[in-house]
This record gives sequence, structure tokens and C-alpha cells, in this order.
Amino acid sequence: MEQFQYQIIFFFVLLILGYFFGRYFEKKHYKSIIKREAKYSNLAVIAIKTVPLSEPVKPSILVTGSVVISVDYFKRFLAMLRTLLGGRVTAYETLLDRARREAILRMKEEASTLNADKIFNIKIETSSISNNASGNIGSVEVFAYGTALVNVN
Amino acid sequence: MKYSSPKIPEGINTTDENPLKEFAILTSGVISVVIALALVISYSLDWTSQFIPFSYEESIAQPFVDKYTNERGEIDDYLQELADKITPLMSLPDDMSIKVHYVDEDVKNAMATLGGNIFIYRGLLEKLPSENALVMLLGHEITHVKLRHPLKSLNKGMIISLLSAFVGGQTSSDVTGLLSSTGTLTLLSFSRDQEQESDYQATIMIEKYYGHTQGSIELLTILAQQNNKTDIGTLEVFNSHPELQERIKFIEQVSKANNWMITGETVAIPTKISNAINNQ
Repeated sequence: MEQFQYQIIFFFVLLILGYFFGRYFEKKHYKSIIKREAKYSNLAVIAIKTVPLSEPVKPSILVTGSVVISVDYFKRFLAMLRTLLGGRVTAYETLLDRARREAILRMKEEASTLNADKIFNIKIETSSISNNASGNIGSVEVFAYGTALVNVN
Repeated sequence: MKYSSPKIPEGINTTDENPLKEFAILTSGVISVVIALALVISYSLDWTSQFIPFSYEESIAQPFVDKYTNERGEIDDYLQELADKITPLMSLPDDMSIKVHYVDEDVKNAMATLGGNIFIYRGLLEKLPSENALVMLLGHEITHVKLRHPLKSLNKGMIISLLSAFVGGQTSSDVTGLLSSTGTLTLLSFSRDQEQESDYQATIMIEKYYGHTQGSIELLTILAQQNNKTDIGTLEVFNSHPELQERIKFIEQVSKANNWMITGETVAIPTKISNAINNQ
């Protein structure tokens, strides 16, 4: 039973570590996301498939941004409890929100270095990266891509 | 005019609520459901054990007993004789019979298992200061048999592993871990109750047999000494047995309440037997 006792203590240590580190990194990440979103606010990201005729003819290029983010132990535990009882998995919502915004930002960064001011036909793909044998979602990859119109002059 | 995208408002796709709140609600909910389930299952299984005939228990246990016991020696016979002397004092049901086996291993333990089979290990036997302590030990194990504790534990163990297998097939190991540890801890409280009941009934018996309860205290003191040597500190909830100090206190309280003498003359274990034990 002693071993059992240490297992439980170990489990709580992991939960606490997961909670505090997860919170810390999430806050830090959101701060950086909001700052960079403001920085790239002049770059228009548009979902329409075809470039409007009013737009001057410019060379176009594929721009991409991809990010992989992992949940912490605490969030994963919370989400797994949700699978028993149902309901909104808020633990994963911030994870996906951060991942989507970060992927778009990285795409914008690429477009910005290419001297583009508009990105058309933006698409976002999400895929989970399974990290253990029972196939639980541990981390998520979000990939954003679109067609940037590049200013040549 | 230069284009500028508006600032996205925060908190639409996410929530600001502290996840600890959600964690507290979900965990306490799940834990209380598991505890309630474990209690209901345990009580109903304990109740059904009276419908399982003792002979059935014996037939399950026989193959294992044959496998793990050697030829009976003089120590087995001595222990059996002692058990036969005290069983009439313990009002066992008619169909129950006690079979005591001596195991020549350095394990400081004794156990009662299915079919009225009691195993006494050399490691514990050689530490016992008197026959009184041995009688207490036998009485404690006989009470386990009388109250069908081995059968009840087997029942509960099987149900719990069945349930955790069900749940385990569906969710992650962390959550299954939480569920099964809650279940196990709930069952341990049953186990502690069983130990206390066994201590109690054995003390009643030893008082009838010797006229005082010194054997009880002696046995528990020996166990406490052994524990002190190895114990690295376990919290009460993680123990299958109550704390030994608590058990000693309990015996003292019971003895006081019934006006039993706590100390008295003790009988030594026959020299022939203690020599035989030490020579092995």
C-alpha cells in the first residue's frame, strides 16, 4: 500500500505542476499573440477564393504557418473527466484558440517578409498528434495557409 | 488609405473562468459517485455471501492449499490442536471447519483464506512471546473465517477489477487511476472494519479461554514492534489494517468496558515446539 500512497502523491504533483506551468505559458503566449496581432493588423487576411477584379494584378505566392502545441497534464486530466460526464471541454478550447491564432500569425509573418499586404483564400487545418498507446490527444497541430499577393515595386 | 484589421475581442472562443473550479466540481462529483457505487456494491456483495455455502469455498480453495502446503509436521499438529481447543468458544456455524497450516518462511504474517484455511508463517510464530499471543492470533484469523471475510474480499476484488476494466476500456489511464484508487480506498475501509471486528471477537474468546486479555495486547505489541522496524510512514487511509496503536487502544477500551483483566498469567509455548521452530 505504501507504493500506492506514493503513486497518488506523484499524481497530484504532476497535476499541480501541469496546472501552474500550463497557466504560466498560456498567459505568456496570449500576451505575445495579442501584441503580434496588433503588429500585423495592416496585413489583410481574406477568406474568399478569388481575387476581386478591383485588385491590381500582382504576383501571388503560397504562404503557410504551422504550430504544434501540447496540453499540460492538468488540462488533459480535466478533458478526460469531461469525456465521462460530457459538456464543454473548456480546457481544450484555449489550446485550439491559441494554436489557430499562432498559425495565422506565423503565416502573416511569412507574408510580411515577402512584402505582401493581402492574403486570400486562407484555410486552416487541424490535426491531433497522438502521444501514447491508447491514442489520447496530447498535442495539436494547426496549419494555416493562403495565397499572398506580393508587392514587387 | 491603409487597411487595418480590427482587434479581435477576447473571450468568445475561450472562457476566463479558472479551470480549478471545473476541476473541483468534476473530481468531487466523480469521486462521490465512485464511493457511493463501491459502498452499494460492497454491502450487497457482503450480504450475498451468506448464500454461498462454505463447502463451495472449500472446494475452490482445495487445489491451492494442496499446492502450497507440504506434509504436516508436529508444528502443524500443535497449531491445529490449539485451534480445535478454541473454536468451540467462538460459536462457528456447524458446517465450518478450521484447518491451520504452518509455513516455514520468514514472513512476519498470518492469514486466513477461503475454505477455513489459516496460514501461520514462521517469521511471526518465532516472535510470539507466549501461547496467549498465539491463541489471540488464531482467534483473530478464525473470526475472519467465521465472518466469511476472505470470501467477501474476493467478491469485492473481482467486482472492482471488472468495473475498472469496463471504465478503463473507455478513458485514459489517469482517469481510470482516479476511479480505481477511489474504489480501492473505499474497500480498504471495509478491510479495516473487518480487522477491528476480528480483534474484538478474538479478545472475547481469549478472555473466556484464559480469564484475561493479556494475549491480545502481547500480540499487537509484537506486531507494532515489527512495524516500527520497517515502517516508512503510511497514512491511515492507505492501510488495510488500522494503526496498531489504535488496535491496542481499542482492546484496552473493550476490556475496560467489560471489566476484563488486561494482564494475567501467561502460558509459554511448549519447549518442544519452540525448539522445532527455531531449528528450521
